[in-house]
Amino acid sequence: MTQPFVIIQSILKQTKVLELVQLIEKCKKSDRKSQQALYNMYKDRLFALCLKYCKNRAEAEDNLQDSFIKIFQSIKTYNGKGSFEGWMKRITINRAIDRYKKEPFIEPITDQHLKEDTTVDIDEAPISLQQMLALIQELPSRYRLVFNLYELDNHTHVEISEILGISVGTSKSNLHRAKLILKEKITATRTTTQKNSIVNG
Amino acid sequence: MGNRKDIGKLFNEQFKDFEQAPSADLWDTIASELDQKSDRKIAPFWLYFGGVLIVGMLTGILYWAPWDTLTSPKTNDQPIVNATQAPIPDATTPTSSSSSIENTTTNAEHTSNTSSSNISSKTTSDQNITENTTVQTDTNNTSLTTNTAGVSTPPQNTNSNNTQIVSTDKNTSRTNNATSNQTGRYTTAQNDEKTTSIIEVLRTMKSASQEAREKKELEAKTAYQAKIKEELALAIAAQKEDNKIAAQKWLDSLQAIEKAEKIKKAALATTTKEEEKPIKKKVPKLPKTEEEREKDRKESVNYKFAVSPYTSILSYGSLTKGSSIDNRLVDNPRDAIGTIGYGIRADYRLSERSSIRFGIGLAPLQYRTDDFQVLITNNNVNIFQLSGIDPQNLGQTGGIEPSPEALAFFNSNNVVSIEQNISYVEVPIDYQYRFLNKRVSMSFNSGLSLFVLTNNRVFATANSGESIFIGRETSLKDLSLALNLGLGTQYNFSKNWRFDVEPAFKYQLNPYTENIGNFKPYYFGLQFGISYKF
Repeated sequence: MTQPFVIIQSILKQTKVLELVQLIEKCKKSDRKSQQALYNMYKDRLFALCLKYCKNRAEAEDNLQDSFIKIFQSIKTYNGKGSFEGWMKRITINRAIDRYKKEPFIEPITDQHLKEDTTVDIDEAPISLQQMLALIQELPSRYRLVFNLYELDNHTHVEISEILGISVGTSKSNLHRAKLILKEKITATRTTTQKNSIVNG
Repeated sequence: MGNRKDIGKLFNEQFKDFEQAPSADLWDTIASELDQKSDRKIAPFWLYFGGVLIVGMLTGILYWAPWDTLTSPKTNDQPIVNATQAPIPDATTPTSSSSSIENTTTNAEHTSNTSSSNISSKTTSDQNITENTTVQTDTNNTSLTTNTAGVSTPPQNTNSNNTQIVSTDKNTSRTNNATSNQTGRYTTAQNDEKTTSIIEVLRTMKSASQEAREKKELEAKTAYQAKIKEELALAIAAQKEDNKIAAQKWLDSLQAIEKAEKIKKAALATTTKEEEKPIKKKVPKLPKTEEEREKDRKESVNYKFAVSPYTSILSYGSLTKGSSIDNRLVDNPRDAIGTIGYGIRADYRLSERSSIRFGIGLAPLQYRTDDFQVLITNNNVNIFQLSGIDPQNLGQTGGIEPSPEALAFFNSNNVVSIEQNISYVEVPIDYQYRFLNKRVSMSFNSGLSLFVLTNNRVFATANSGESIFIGRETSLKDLSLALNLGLGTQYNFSKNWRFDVEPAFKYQLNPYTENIGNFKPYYFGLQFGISYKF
């Protein structure tokens, strides 16, 4: 039973790939309907990416708009090698990095060690996805970029140092501090949630 | 202890398939933006190239065009007056033509062999070719000769009696020499008839030219008479005005003397001084003469000592891209905040054009460093770790943690502006040189100021306008010096009062004990003041 299912799945996948290739070709000719179709196909995924990299929803929408304009302008340069979605994600992330890279930032002078624990108890009161998103957005921009690039988009510290123009050591310490801030905030959020649940009975 | 997981992994798992829809109208914005971008592409290369080409061509035309030939006529275009024309008498010239005509008439009517007359006319205007027509009258023959192209053919006079006409008739080109050989065929009567008709033509010409000349002369005469009349009227009016003023003065002085005498008498009678007051009021004031005005002007700039209270709009800044708080803030956007200062200045006049000035004033200054990213780690706020700030808002325990109010403020505001409030009492000593010394005078001022620090406070300000005191600048000196440069404009509106406007630049020479962030402070002030002159 599994064999025909795999074949059907494979055929469907091939069909989708063909559809996407056709769509890309039409977008290369600046066909507005195809551009809209492509936008509808990827908008939710790319917007989620923008939300993680930006400070708030408004800036995320601005970033998504800039990214799609850039995508449609440079779609002719996409040569079909590699994932198209990956190509679009790179453009979107680069837009967000450009937005926040030059933001003034001063490293805090603390005597904290990099070995400080950055784990949390997952059995305690769970935090919603929206709360987690808010916590990421509240991070200072540099920390948010490093945390996203390393933890959520699987870049190495060497890559991050090149992308952001910082040293590998700075990238590591930024990531560590971002995690400590998140940990602190998760603890605070849980405490508030528990207090509220006690008050509400 | 429960099950623990790294924060990074926790977030990674949670956001693995995270998707969220943007606003519904975002596509419209993107589409319109794309439309605009594609519209802009229409004019890339050819438009710029065409524009440059057109501008280049126009420049070339303007530069190389033979404007001389288009705007002013060449000397070649002037009518060429042939040397042979010079001796030809001008028919419009009254002296030659009239006498010639007179002579011709006499010849025709009275004599046939003894008298001769010459009538010539020449027109040179707008014609390169001058035709010369000669009408020759003889007792026995009449010859009509026309010369063209400026070649003057000598009249074929066989006798001393002839009448010569030089005309401008271009198309007439005939030589009637044959008539000169047909003497026998013509009678004297016929000759007389022809002579009479020519004389009539000449008379008509004479009367026409004379009329025109007389008309012109009349017009010129009338215009000249009108001009003379006008000038005369003006002169009379001016004289009348002068007489009127002189008479008025004389009358006024008489009245004044009369009134003065009356008052004197009254004063003698009553021995009170109050009665003299109305005299001053009643004496009409005459407009000032130029000498009096000059005297006023001199008096208005002639003083010994002046006192000037002033107010000024101040703006604080740095000559370099430094920061007095911390050298890590060099790239943060910064701006000066306009403030109002005030003071009083005394001005002692050394010579006609120079003065020495000294005074005292208050200069409150404000400077703001924007976009400071606040970070709180283990209750340590990074703003208190800036090298140029001595934190004043820390709690008592341990002196490390900020006060609860400060902590609450920075927890709710993660980006703030750092606002420095600095005030100096300023004691300036300046030398002033007035390079324009009239009712409106202009001066160059330079000198030194002693600055005494009276206020040094640093605040953190949120976007909402809420602010909190965070400390003082560590390296500001209590006493410092500044170099002053200014350009003053003064309006001496009376003998004792003057209005001053003076932009002044003050560069602080040694404001810091230690210059942390290569900050070279100055302030610019626009001073407005009123001076009382003694």
